[in-house]
Parts: sequence; C-alpha cells; structure tokens
Amino acid sequence: MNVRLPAAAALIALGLTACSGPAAPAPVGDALSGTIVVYAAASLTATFTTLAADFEADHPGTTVTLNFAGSSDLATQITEGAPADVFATADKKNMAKVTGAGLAAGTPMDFATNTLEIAVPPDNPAGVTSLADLASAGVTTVVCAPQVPCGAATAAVMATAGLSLTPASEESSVTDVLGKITSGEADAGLVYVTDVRTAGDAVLGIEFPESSSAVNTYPIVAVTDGALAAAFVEYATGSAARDVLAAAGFGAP
Amino acid sequence: MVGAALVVLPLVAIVARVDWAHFVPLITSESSLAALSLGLRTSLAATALCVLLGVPLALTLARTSFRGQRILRALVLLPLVLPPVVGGLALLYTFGRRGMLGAPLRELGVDIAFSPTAVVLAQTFVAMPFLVVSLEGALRTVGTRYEAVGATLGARPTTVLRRVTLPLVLPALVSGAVLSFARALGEFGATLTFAGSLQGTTRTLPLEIYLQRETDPDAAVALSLVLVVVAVVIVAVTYRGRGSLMGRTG
Amino acid sequence: MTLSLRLRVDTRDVDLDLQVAAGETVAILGPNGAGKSTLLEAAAGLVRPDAGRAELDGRVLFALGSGEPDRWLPPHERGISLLAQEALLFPHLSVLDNVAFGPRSAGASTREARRRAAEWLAEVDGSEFADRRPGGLSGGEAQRIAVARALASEPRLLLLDEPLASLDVSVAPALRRMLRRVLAGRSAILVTHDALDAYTLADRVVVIEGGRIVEQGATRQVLERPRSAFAARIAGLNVLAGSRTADGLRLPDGTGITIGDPAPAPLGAPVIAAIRPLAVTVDTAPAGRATDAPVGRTTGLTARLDNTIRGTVHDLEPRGDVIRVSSGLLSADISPAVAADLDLAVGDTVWFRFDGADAVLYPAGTGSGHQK
Repeated sequence: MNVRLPAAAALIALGLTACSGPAAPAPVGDALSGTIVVYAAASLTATFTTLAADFEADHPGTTVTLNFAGSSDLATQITEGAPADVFATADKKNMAKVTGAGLAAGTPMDFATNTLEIAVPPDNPAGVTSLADLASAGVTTVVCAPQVPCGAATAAVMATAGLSLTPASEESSVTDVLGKITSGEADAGLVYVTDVRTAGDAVLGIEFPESSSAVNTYPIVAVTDGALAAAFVEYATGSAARDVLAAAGFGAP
Repeated sequence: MVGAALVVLPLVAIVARVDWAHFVPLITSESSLAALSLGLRTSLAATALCVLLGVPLALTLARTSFRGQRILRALVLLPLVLPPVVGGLALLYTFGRRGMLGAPLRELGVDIAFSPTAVVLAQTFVAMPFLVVSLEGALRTVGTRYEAVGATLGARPTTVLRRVTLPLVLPALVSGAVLSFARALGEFGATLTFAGSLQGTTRTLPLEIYLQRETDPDAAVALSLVLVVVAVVIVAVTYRGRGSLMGRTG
Repeated sequence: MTLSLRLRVDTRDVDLDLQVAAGETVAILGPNGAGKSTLLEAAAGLVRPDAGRAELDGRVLFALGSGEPDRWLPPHERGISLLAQEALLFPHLSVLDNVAFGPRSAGASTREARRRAAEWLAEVDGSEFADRRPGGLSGGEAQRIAVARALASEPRLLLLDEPLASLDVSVAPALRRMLRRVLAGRSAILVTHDALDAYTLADRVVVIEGGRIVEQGATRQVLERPRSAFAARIAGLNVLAGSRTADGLRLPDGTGITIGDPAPAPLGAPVIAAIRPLAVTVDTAPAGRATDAPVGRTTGLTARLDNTIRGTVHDLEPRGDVIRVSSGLLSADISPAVAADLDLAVGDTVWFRFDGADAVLYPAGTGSGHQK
C-alpha cells in the first residue's frame, strides 16, 4: 500500500499536465518506506533536523527519527546495543569505536568539516582580533578541555601558532564555552564556526588562519542493513545536503 | 522492595564496573587529587558559610513571625528542587562579571568569575537549604519552653541562644552541616554553569568525573566510587546523629 | 506590697487585677482556660497584654496603655522565676549546671555559680544528683532540681504553674512539704487545681473564672465556705444549680430545695447551692429511717433531713473511713456500716437527703463583691 501511494500520486500529477507543483514527485517505483533512527552529533542538531524533513518530503511514507547527543555518548549507546540505523559523528575517533566493534553496515563517508573560530561577546570588550590576543594577560579566555574533541582541536591550533594559553576555564563542552561568552563572563573563547553561526547575534565570530591546522571531519555510516538507512547516508553526503550544511557553516570534506 | 532495588542496584552496578587493579592509581592521579583537594576545601568553606548564614536564617524562620515568612521559607528551600543548572544561571546573573552584584564588585576589584570563590558560592547556594531545613525543624521540635525558662532565670537573649537554644539543636546543626557538606561536595550543575572548570581552581570532583568520562571511563568510575563512599559515610553519620538526638531528649 | 498586677488580654478575654504582699503566697484557682496561665505568662514577660501595668518591689515590669509612656521589661530583667508542671531541666547540662544557670546568667563566675548551686541542691536534698544528666531523673527528682534552679536565681517573685500536677501521688507529698518550707516568707503565685496545695502552701486564694477574679480571701475562708461554684468543686463540695425560690432553689427537673441561709438574690435568678458530701445521706427508699443520720453533721445534733433527691448510683468509692456514693448530681460520704446495710451496687436507685441548714446558697457564676 505504501508502495502504491506515491505511484498513484505521480500518475495524478502526470494526468494534470497543466499543473506543475513546486516539489518534484518521487520517481515512479521508489520502494522506500518505513522508519529509521538516526544518531547524530549534537552539533548537527539544526542541519540534520532540516535534512530529515527534506528527506521525508522526498520520500513520502518514510519517517526519520533523530537522536542528538555528544559523539562519545552516542558511540557508547550504540556499542551498548541502542537501536540506531544511521550514525553521524563530529569526529573520526568516536566513529572508529562503532566500526571497530563491527557494528557498521558500510564504510563511513565524510560529509562535512568544521573548523574553530574565535567567539567574543558582541561588543568584544577585550578588543580581540587574532589568536595571539587570547594568550595575552588581560583577556579572560575560555576553551574546551583537552579531553573533548573541541579541546583537542584547540590544543592543535595553539601548537601550530606556537602560543601557550592560560585559560580561565577548560569546559567539557562547546555549549559551556559559548555560555561563558554570551553571559559576558569570558572575553573570548574557541568554538566551532557552526556554533558561532547557531549563536546568531549573541556572539561575534572572528576567523583566524591557524584554524586550518585543526579541521574536524564528520563521518556518517549506516549501522543496519537496509535500503532506507543507505538512502539516508547517500542523501546526507549528496549535494542537496551540502547546501544545507554549508549554510550552517560546515565546510566540504 | 522495588524502590530499594532501584536505589541499590545502580550502586552495585557502579561498584561492579570499578577497575580494582588500577583503582588506587586512578584516584591518586594528579588531576584526581587536585579535584579531590579542591572539592574538600571549597566544600568546607561552603559548609562554614552555610552555618554562618543558615543559623540566623533558621532562627528567623523558626522563632519569629512576620508578613511574607512563608514565602521566604519557600524561596529559601527553592534550591532543593531547582535544577542546579538553573541555580548556576541565577548566580551568574547575580555575581557574574555583568551581574547585579558582580559588576559593582568588579569595579571594586573583586572578580568572582572562574575563581574558587565562585565554586563556594554555587555550593553554598545549593547546600544551605539542607542546613536550614534540618535546623528549623529541630528548633520547632524543641520549642520555646526551654528558652522561656532560661529567660526567667535571668539569661539575656544572647545567653539563651548560646547556652540553651544552640546546645539543644546541636545534633541537628551538626547533621545539617554534614548534609550540606555532602551536597557541596557533590555539586555539579551550578558550578559548571557559574564557575567554569579549571584543574586546581574550579574543577571539583563531579566536574572531573564528567570530563574524565570522555577519555577515561575507568577513572570516572573510580572517582564516582569515592563520592559514593563519602555519601554512604555521611548518611550513616547523620542517621547516628539523629538517633543520639532522640536518645537525649526522649 | 511586693507585686501589683493589672492586665487585659483581649484575645483571651482576660481582665485581672492582682496584688501579692511581701512574703505572701497566693494560690490561683480556676477552671482550664480561665486565664491562670495568661496571668503567669504576663507576669513573667512571656506574653504581652493589650493593656495593663505591673510593678514588683517598686520597679515597673510593664506599663501598656495606662496613660504613661509604654514600658516593657524583658523576662530576664524582671527577677521572676517560673516553675512549670514539667521540670524542663536543660538536657545538655548536668544537674549542678542546671541549678548554676541562674547565678551564671546574673554574672557570677562558674566557680561561684556552682558553689551556690550546690547549696540549693542541698536545700532540696538533691546533692547526690549534682553530676548526673537530667535525662535519668524521675519526675519528682527532676521537679526538686527545678525548684532549686528557680530559687538559685534569687527571684523577687516565684511563679509556680501546677508544680505537682504531673507527679506521682507517692512523691507529691514530699515535694509539697519541701515547697512549703522554701515558700515560707517568699512572694509567690501558685496556680493549682488541688485544694490540698492551696491549704498547704497558700496564705490567700484567688479564684478566676472566665478571665475575671470571682472570689478571693484567706485560704481557709474560701475553701470552707466557698462563694463560687469552682471553689466549691475544688473544696470537694456538691454543687446544685437552679433558680432562686422563696426558701431556697428549684432544680431544672422541678425538685425544690430548702436552704437554711438564703443568698441575697432576686426570686427566679440563677443560684447555686453547695453542700459537703459528709452532710448528705443515702437511702434505698424515699422515706428515711432513724439510723441513717449523716456521718458529718455540722449544724446541730439532730438532722432535719428536709431535702430529698432521687438518683442512680454511678460510682462507689472507699475514701478512708467513709464510702463515697456518687450519682451524676450528688455525692454522699456514708459509713461502711450503712453502705453494707443498704447493700448498694452501681445502677441502684437511691434517695439522697440533706438538711438545708448545711447548704450554702449564692448567686450563680459570681462571687461576693465581684459582680461582672
């Protein structure tokens, strides 16, 4: 029944030749249906919500259920047997935990990259303009702790720039770093470009050249064998998804 | 019994997960010791602050009556039921660099942000209700009759407070302080939101556990066990305290 | 005059005026809720009256709404100690330090306070308890220590709120004797429900009902010829309420009672007759026999048993050398021989008889000279 409905819709659309709807009907013979569960890194919340909605619109009869959390939490949940069909992480390390456990149904594909950016309060009270400013004495800087991915990236760019940082705080998540900046507690912090984009007017982003030394790559993989999971992975790595991701600040892999 | 299982099983589960072979090295690593030491120091300071601020508050609630007293009591107890992260945000907007008190304090050269002082404030905020509740309850139970006797024997109010009221509620004061200490030691949300997380400065034991979880779950489990043991000891001590209180006045 | 006390507490409908002479012990009698505790609390400074004035040894304790600027002395500056029904010894202090509490509070050194405390402990035969915690003491022992503690603060006035009420009957007499000794020559106010306490300890009795003084006078006079229903009950008298008739009163059930000494009350007004149980006799038939004269006649050799009231025996209780026969309305104390003769049992119908000359009649609810 689910198979026939899109076909019937297509026939009706073809019959009404004068009418050209905004959305192209799904190709006749599209056999996709059912529900998949996608586990995605928290930083993908906005983009994957859009991608899932677009995917469902393209394939009527399908439902994409999303579960967002930190990459390491998700990896732990999947290895403990959580019912995920697709897994998208913010780093390769946590992806490796799942593939290493033999839980992936395919080879992970990189679909986005993310780089660090300096975030400051909108009025930039400390007058920060470069990465070197974060290391100067009068600037209260907050970064991620080295144990978490954004902190590892921070350590990498600092090493590249030859700077040594004495942060006021080493937070355990990007959200906590952003919180300290939006509240004005800190003068500057290092977060991802996409985080600055999401925060909107609450923070000001300052690009810096050294960010290229720590590019975070986002891989995605199907966890279960199924046409729908494979189709979603294909969609997320395709050009339509690329536009959505780019709008959010993600780079191409 | 199901209720007991719900409480006991997770404790058993975490004990089962402990990597005993490396337990001592895990809890004596530099970062663990720094977190433990900071946690103990800030919790002791927070407990002292709880006693200093909580005793007058409990006395006010138990021994006087004024308009809005019930509202004040409800507000004082609020941190008990408030998500700690909300408490952290509230503290941020009060004592933060741009906060109601934080901004003027900063003008005076006092910067609370990212300092152990911020940790102590967060801990005191969430822990004080334990002391106030415990003490106010005891003050109401003891009643005012002994205080009246003291006054008619010629003792001025400060003498009555020192020689009658406080000794009578001492067991409750101690157990309230111990509970406050335990709550301060375990405080996570408000500290994370308000004080930040830096080894040796603001990263207390729960924050260290939260961070270690990312890279070294074994260390996180080992440190969790330390907190569980501290909690068990404190609950045991508190209950024994209650028992002796009943024995003395009963 | 040591104490003069006038106070009004509107919420408790209390309006009292009381004097205590130097060295005098005044017993306050009255039903529960009459205002006795309010009186003590106001004197001690634990309750603030709406209006009134009190002076102790020339010092103003309080003056509220009395024309002069309001004054209120806090409890610890009054020199008034309060001894309650419960000993309320501080549980965290030793017995000696409990007694030393007053002297310490007055500024004595620990050593001096303990020396004085030891003296007072000896005075109440409590020296052996000095190092004990109050928790292990019996009620009577604790109350003795409480007396020592109250006296050790050297009060100008001692307030006693039913100090023997919660004690076992076996220990009350000893403590009563001790109180009699220490109250001699002291100014004190004693609230009690017990005629024996009043007889033993008080020079004067004040009866309070409904927040007002209804009767006062020398202890013996008040208790032997009470003018108030409450004092009559305290004194163990039968109390009959009715309306005034030409020769006595009429009970609600229509029974007429003849009284030898009619009170000055208008005909039809509510009145009360009081008669001692010893002056009442009991029979199992309405017509009396010659042998059943009351055990205790007070007004002459031959009884004119001109009053008869029918009742049902509710209780038979041996009291020393008499048996008390009680119905809901009357009690009679009869000799065991008569009781055996009558073969009384609970539930029997009996006829109580007494001579009107043995009863006292007075207006209901008020005492002489204290009309509301």
